Amino acid sequence: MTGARALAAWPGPALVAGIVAAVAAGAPAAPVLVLVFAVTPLLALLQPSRSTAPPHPATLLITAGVAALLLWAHLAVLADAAALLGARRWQASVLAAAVALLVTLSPGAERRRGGMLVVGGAALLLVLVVVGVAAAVSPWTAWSQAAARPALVFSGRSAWVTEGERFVRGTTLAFDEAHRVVAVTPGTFRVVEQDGGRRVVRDWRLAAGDAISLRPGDTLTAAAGSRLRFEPGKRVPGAAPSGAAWADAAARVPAARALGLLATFALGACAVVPAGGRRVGLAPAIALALSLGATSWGVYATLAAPEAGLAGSPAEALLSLPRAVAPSRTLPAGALAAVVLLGLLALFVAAADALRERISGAGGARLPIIWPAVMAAAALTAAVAVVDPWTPLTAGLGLAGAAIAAPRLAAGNGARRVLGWPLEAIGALFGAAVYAGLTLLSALLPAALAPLGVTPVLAAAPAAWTVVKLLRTMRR
Amino acid sequence: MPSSSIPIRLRRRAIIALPMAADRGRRIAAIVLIVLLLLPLPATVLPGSPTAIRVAGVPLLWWYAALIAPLTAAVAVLVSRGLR
Repeated sequence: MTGARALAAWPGPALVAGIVAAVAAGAPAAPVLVLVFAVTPLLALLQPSRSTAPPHPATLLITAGVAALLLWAHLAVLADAAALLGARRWQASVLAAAVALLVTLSPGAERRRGGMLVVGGAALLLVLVVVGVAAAVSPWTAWSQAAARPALVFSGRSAWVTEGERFVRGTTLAFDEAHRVVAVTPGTFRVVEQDGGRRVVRDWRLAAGDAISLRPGDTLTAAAGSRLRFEPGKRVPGAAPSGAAWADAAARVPAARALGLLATFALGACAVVPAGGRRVGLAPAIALALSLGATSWGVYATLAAPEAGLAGSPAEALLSLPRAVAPSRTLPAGALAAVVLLGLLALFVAAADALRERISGAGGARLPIIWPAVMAAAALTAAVAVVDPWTPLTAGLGLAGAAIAAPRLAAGNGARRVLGWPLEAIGALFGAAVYAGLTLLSALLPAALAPLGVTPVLAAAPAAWTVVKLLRTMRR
Repeated sequence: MPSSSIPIRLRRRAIIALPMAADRGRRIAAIVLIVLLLLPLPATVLPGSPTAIRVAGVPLLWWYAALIAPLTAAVAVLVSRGLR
């Protein structure tokens, strides 16, 4: 298997958009995310090549669940992008799922997978280069300029100021200064005012063109689908208070959070990216280019469109850049946004085909209906449930790490069985049970164990690994 | 038949099978990548915030996460594949 083909499951739309959005928002975990995005797939390629594990219904069920969660996350980003561009969520979700099914079920899909990954990555990097050339600013200079800003404010050219933008999901905005907000479409908005230390909750039903005046300390809750217009020159609610605060946020990530992200992504990568064998080909170059590109994209977005996180979707950080830096009339922002969408679609199809292969390897080849069923479930969920794509993405990678990677690393190359069950299947069930239990009981965990509720893979993966190792020792 | 004048010296030679050498390279590269991933964890809690030192306007932690570590990882993987 060539490196690009093996790497295809990794840089899907949800991960790329999530990294760009984290950098643009100045999230404390952003540097760790960029690091794991670039390095963990290469670590997965270095896994020892091993004989195929014996297929089992338990591992097939868990692999299908992981694939459904990851596909849901990727489709949610494409659905968000469609909603931001004025289309319906279900249209993008169903169309992307149909294209992916068509490509992955056609003969020779595996051979085209590496090409899809390269085309998708190249499309996004092309837009980045065009934007960088149009702005005439290198990424590190853009960083310095963004960090030197006294405040992150709405520009007069922002779509949130000119015609108003829509919220992809329900959002609560906290205002640090007086702001007059205009409703573009009719809707109900909840304002919580701080009146002399007393909270006053007011629900405003606004017609198109009606305005609300907000004071410092007020919060505004907007429902998904509502559209608002903001004032130019005012601070972006929810964004970092200044460029310096945005740049310095990265040094404040808690160690437990960083460790949880490292474990989730490293083990998740080992589960979905297969061993590279003797040929890694272009994989290191692709991982490096995409990680540098995603970081640069986030920096440019902060400089040109600091309001990129307002809509509540990571897709906005990707789409805001071409719109904020329209290079010329011959190459309008709409054309660049279309290239971004096509690039995301290519990355999605490449990731989907790699996940299909994982399901096939877990025993799904004998049940060809499973792959279309997984894709249909993911498309339906992405169209109906308006959740942050990051949630199913980290859940899928965490579950994959605990229930697929950890038991496989512990089982080694042997095909031992206990009571007729392969060791890996027992470890997978145990890992999945611990992962699900910690996720469901996270609210009940004491404060000292709270990190395990946030990133259950920290406990579930060692538990699954230990069980398989113990069973392996007992059987000798 | 005359004896050969070429001296033949017996020396100890380590014979390493090719797959074993490749596996050694793979293991070393994997350790390098794990160290690269774990390095920022202790660095962020060091006193004086050394990761916040700016080089060309960009904090050191960002240079490491976005360029130095990915580049080192890519080189490590390529070198490990070359050890065959």
